[in-house]
Amino acid sequence: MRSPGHSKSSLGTPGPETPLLSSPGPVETSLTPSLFTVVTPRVQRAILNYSLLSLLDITFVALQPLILSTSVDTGGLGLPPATIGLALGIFGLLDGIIEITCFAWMCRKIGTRKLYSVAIASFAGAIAAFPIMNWLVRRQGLSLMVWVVMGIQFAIIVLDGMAFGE
Amino acid sequence: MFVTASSPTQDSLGAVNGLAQTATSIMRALGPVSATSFFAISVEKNLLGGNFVYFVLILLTIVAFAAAQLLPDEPWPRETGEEGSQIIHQNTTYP
Repeated sequence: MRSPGHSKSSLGTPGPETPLLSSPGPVETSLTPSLFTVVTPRVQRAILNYSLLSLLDITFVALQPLILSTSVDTGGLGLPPATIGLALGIFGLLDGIIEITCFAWMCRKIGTRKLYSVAIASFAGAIAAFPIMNWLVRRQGLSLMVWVVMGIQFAIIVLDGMAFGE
Repeated sequence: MFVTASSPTQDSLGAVNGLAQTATSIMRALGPVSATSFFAISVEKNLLGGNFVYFVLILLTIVAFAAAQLLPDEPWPRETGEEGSQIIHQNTTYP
């Protein structure tokens, strides 16, 4: 009963007489089934969604400063670093304030799944804003329209940030 | 909210959260590499006029949207409404 060789087959908790030396065995095997039993279908769905959300978010976060600083010919906006810093700083401040004040209210008003779906769907708009801004800059330079589109894009990202609350 | 609510028991909350963090960390590791590489490739090879990266990301958005439809309208109800969560538990009754 005390032989550590049996620990693989007997997945139960270590008995009270289990010696100290063999304790890593039973502890390890008792963890393994619990990790598998935890992965129920709804856990899979929740984790799948969380993973996809963070993948979308991180691709945007990685691309945003890259595209803002890339030259206009190569598909960016060609903004100087100081302007990018200012824009991202203002956005971050507003993002924080809006999410603190509006998240709970919107969640109740719209419904959790619906708000999440809307946030995910609106991501397409945030991504599409990049080529639209580039096209605008090519046509008319850094016009007011470019900043309007960027403002809309920021608003969408605020909404997306709310998806992380769900 | 969905991740914590999906946990089958209170005891497995840690394991579920750990799994979720692991999965998202992997995604967060892969995301910037793939996105910026797609951007570079689409500009370099002029795929779809350099807009190939946006096409890929919008496809990804559609996948994520489809996955969101697998979730219930509100997070799965809990036995006890702790953590001061903002959601209204349908089955919570106050005597």
